[in-house]
Amino acid sequence: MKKYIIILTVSLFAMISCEEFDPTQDINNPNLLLDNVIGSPGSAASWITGQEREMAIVYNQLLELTELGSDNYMNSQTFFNQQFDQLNITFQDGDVNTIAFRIADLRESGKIGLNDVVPADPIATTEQQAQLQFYVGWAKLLAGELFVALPDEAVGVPVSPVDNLNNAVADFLSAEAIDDTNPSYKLALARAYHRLGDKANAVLKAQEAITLDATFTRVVEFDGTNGPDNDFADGLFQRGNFDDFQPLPRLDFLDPKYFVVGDEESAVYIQKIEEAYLIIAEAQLADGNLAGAQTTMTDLLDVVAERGTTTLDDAVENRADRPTGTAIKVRASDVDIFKENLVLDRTSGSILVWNISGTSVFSADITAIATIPDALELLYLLRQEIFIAEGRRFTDLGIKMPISEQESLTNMNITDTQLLAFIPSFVPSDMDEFTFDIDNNEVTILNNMNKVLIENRTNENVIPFF
Amino acid sequence: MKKNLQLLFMIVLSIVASLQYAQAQERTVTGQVTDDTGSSLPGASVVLKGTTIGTTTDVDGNYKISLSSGGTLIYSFVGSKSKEILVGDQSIINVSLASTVLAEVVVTGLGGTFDRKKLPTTINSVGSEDLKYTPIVRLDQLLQSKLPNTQILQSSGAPGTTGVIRGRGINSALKGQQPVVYVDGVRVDNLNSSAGLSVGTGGAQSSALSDIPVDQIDDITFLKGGAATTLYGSDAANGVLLITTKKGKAGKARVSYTAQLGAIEGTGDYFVFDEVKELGFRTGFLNSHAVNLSGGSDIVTYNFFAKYRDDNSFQYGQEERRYTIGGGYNASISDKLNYQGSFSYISNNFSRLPNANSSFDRTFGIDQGLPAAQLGLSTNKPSDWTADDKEIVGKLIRDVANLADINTKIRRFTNSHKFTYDIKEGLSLNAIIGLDFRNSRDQDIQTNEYLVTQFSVAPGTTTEGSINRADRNFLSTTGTLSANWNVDVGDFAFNSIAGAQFFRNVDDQQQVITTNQAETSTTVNISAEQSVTDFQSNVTNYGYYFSENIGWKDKIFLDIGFRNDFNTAFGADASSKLYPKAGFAYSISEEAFLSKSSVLSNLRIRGSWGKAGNFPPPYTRDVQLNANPFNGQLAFQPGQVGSANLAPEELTTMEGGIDVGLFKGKINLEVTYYNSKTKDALFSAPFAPSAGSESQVRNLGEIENKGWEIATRFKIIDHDDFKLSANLSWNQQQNTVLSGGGAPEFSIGGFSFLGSFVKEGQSIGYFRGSNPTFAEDGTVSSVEENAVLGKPTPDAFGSLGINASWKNLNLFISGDYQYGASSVNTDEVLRFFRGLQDDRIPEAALDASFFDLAGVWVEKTDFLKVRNITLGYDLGSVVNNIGFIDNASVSLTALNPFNFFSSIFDPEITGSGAGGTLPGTNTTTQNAVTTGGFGFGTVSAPRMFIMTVRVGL
Repeated sequence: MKKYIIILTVSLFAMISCEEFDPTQDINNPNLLLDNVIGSPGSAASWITGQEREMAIVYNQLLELTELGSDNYMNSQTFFNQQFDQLNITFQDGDVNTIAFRIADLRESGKIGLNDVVPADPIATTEQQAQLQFYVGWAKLLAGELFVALPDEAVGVPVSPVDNLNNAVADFLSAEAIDDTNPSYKLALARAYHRLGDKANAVLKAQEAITLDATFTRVVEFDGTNGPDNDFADGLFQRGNFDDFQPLPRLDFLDPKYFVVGDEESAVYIQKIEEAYLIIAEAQLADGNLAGAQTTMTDLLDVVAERGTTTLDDAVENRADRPTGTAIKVRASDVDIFKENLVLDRTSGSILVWNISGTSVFSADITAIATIPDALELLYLLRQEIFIAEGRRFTDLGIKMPISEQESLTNMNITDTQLLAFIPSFVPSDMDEFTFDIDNNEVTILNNMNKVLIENRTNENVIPFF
Repeated sequence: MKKNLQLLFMIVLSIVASLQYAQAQERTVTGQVTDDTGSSLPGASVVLKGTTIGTTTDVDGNYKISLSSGGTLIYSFVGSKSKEILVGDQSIINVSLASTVLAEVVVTGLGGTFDRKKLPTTINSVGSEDLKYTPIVRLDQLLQSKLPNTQILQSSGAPGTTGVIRGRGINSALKGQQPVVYVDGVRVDNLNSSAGLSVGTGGAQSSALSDIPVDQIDDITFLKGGAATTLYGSDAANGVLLITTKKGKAGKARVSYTAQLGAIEGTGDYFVFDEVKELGFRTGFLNSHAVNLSGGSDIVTYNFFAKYRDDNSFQYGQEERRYTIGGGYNASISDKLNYQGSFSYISNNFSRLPNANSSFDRTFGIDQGLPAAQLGLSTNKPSDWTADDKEIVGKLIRDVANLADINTKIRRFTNSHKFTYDIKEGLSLNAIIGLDFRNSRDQDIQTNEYLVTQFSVAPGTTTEGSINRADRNFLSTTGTLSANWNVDVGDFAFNSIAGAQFFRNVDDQQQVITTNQAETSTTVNISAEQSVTDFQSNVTNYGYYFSENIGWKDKIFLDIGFRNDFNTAFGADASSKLYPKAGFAYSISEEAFLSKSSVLSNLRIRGSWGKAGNFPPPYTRDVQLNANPFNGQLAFQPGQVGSANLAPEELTTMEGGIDVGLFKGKINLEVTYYNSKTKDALFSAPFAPSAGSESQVRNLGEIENKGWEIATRFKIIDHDDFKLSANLSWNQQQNTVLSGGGAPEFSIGGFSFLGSFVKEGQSIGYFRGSNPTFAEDGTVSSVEENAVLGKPTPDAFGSLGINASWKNLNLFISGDYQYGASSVNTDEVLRFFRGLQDDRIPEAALDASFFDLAGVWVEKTDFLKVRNITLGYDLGSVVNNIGFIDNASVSLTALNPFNFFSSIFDPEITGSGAGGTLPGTNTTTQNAVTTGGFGFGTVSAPRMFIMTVRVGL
């Protein structure tokens, strides 16, 4: 009897524990599987949100590299990339690989969206299809602007910048064909045509964009709560974890372009109507139409002025070893004149920062110009100031990244020359150097890069319309 | 709590009193228990058969037992045959117990319990006697220097952390190296990194190993991965740590009380600036009390304990408080059925400060250069600070300690039930069932006041407060059913084991982060916004196994076996996994031609070949989307591409060795050569970037670890009153990635300018970065890009120890060493940023990109550290007749007293993470490979001076 009681007791133990000892319990993957998404209503909308999120990741990576690799910012004290700051851009640089991967990810996920998700989603719209086409085109646009060459398919043959830009144009035209009223597609086309040197089409699309929306902007937003974050805002404003990017003193008044209030992180403007004016003005100058360009540039100042300003407490920023204060005068090089009001006093707390776009150029500066080169230099200063921290200066300086080591190790199509960065011979590595005469509060920047660009305007890598 | 402890103590005392009362004295039997050579046996058990009445012998083997009437006394001692003697009218009974075991018995877990000489592999074990004078705090500290072939690095001294445990090199480029841990046959949580979702404090990695109950350990055995762990299958490539807890001894109820009081001194050995210690450290206080109750009859034995421990750290603002209660028991339910059970419950609470990997750390920040202008200091160079500067920094450190609110609470319940049914002589059935449930909550509350104090937000800010809370619930259930059959046929002895085992881990985590948290509130509800993330990682592993050990004339042994495993993390198209093993052992000294040798007391050769596995992280086999919240919308992005054939890493180990004992065991030598190859090594290696696909965990690589293990033990003096012994080990190892499977090299940690990489032909985690050459004028003349700058794993490591005793006085010293490894002096990189660098970089090169200078910061990390010096005194007979005190001991311990090292930072600590995401993916993971080698990010283990008083009633 005792034996049976024992067996019964042990069996009861086992039965009661069954639930927790059931090997099949809770083992299914709780994550989302691709097969479960294809065909579900609303999947296209979520896919587009995914593309927006990918853009945030792309720009978070891209801004750091391209801004450091220009005269806009220097890397004062950070674990962010320092090689770009010194224009030592190599194929072995992990960040080069990362940005190439991110661009490819944007392109490939756009293609999955176009080929698999949208066709299967019963409530997908043609506008959504156009949006996905735009993102695929945008990936190719970035590839064309930033790289000496980049494959446009997995382990594919590298595509030249011109071909990548032409492929981008094709995608933007497809998007435009679906939705002809979206200024985003027009402006994207204007930008791609500009880089390709196609003056007529660039101006046409720029004008169409202005006509559709004279205040148009398109942003990449970040998500301060769930990520991705705008790390550039950290380098410019919060300066946690040793992050510290410092602007060229002549651009100090535009800093911080991005900031964080609570969990609200500044968005990055990837498209704004100001670009249409800049393209038209450059075309006018290329055509010898100085007066027309002056009018366009003055109109542009009106657009910028309409963007307004924000008051911001920037006292946390510690600029002990940099020029700071309103008494500072800055000149663009030792042959330029000193200008005032370019450096702000941040120690007292509140400063005014520009929304969307800002500039130190006044209409009087525009009307005072007498020559095309002077106008072009002012136009490129406007471009630099309006596009600061938006990742554009790198391309305007004609610099291009190489194909990465990781691609070369896994893709047999890569040639040795594609593993070399391209830096125009007239672009010096010490672009953001300056001297600071503390006694007289005078800052002299070593190189006026806008002047350098204009002096080399016929070089094929810069100022596309010349 | 203090009241609760008092109450508990009172209850224990009353139990003891009642037990004492029950034993109404009518007659007394005394005597001495000796072994078969006539030596006294202290601690032998004397029990009146069929009752709980009993006692143990004192240091001289003497006993005294009071009996109300006659009966039979059972005399027993570990390693001796029990003896039953009818008392009759005898009042003095002297007993000699014959030794049953000449060879050492070791526990091999699923493989059963064996004479060591039968096994073809080396197995390290630590018994309760070895732990007697060790102030037990954490499992890693307990094992440090005690396992001759295993390296335990104290990678952090922060509360709740555990060291990096490494046996035979690094055999995975994906998963952590810590062994799996079984407590009384039940697999327990062995997460040795921050959880998938956790609150980061800089560099300190929390570890579930830090709260494995270690107070009642009877025996720890470490099986190294390979043939020794084949029966554990897909979970055992890193080795298996088997912990057996005390179940009590037959005899009268014995109560012991142990108190530990200690001073904790943060070590200043590793700082460039003395001001870190001067301003940031204090003398901490350790305070621990434990009560133990054990005893039993020949039918039931028990051992219960309760412990309170408080450690308020050497750093302001840190504290760890731990409550433990548990027990183990054994019951003979019938002649054939036996039951063993154990349980423990731990409540552990600790607070931490931001570590050196955070700009919020103001203590170790001193050594890296604090932002002088921001803090209002005259300079960032601490050695030039004025009294005012020191006051500012000292006040900031205390303000941060007062306002920082980073704490962790852990509750853990572990239990085990083991049933053994003897079918007939030599044949038994075993069933083990048990679970480990661990709940942890990390919480970081940052108030606006705190952020203002940290200069993170402008004074007057009211909207930046936040709570970051991460909860983890982990449940592991284990079930094992096996049959053991031992039979002798002529000269042959067969030990057969067949069984089935499964375990299931359910790991469920959630993290809530709030923004604009209302000041002083501690619920996440009172905030403007909350974001929630969860992480689940569940896996079931089940398999069956068979093992056969065949002995011939008790001197030649053949050991074969296999396990076949199924696992829910294997790819859908992957089949079950078979792990075979084979080995032999030959005790040559048993042969007649050697048995009479006066020099050679033991000579054994052994060899084995076996496989064990490492299953892939759950769900990495599936094609997944990344679905994330993004500004209030759901965002779909392509995720991992999946792998239908995903299989476990397969570790094949071949080893051969020789064990030599000389001069009656006065010199013992174990020499082993091993070669372990990990095939199908799991790499989270990238695809070509043009594919736009995240990295995927794939069976790509092949890794080799090989080397020599030499362990020696010397009994230098072995007199009755004076004994002196020493041990020394040396383990040479070489780790190489034999094949990358066509994937390009990839990073597994570190920084973008200097990282840990995996590359064919190199050691796992080797340092890759630029290496500069300086010209005579000090400028950088050339830079070798992506140079091999060193490796984090040592060429050799080992431990050493001395144990001396004179009568009741015992001295124990242990330490360990390594050489041939390197580490990155990240503190010096930060000093370089802040103008506090040393002279390793010529003046003319100071404005070079630090990316180009990377190589200058990699330093050799050779070290010899003395871990433990303990002087203990067994008061034994001194207290024997004082009131109700039966025995007592007192010991003084210095932990980490001396450090000798080649680098200018602590060569052991590392801030290189093991949690976060899989390399090149968005997939959250934990327990990732930790090669270490980034010398910053967390605090070093402190010096501790502890007095332990143990009183037995």
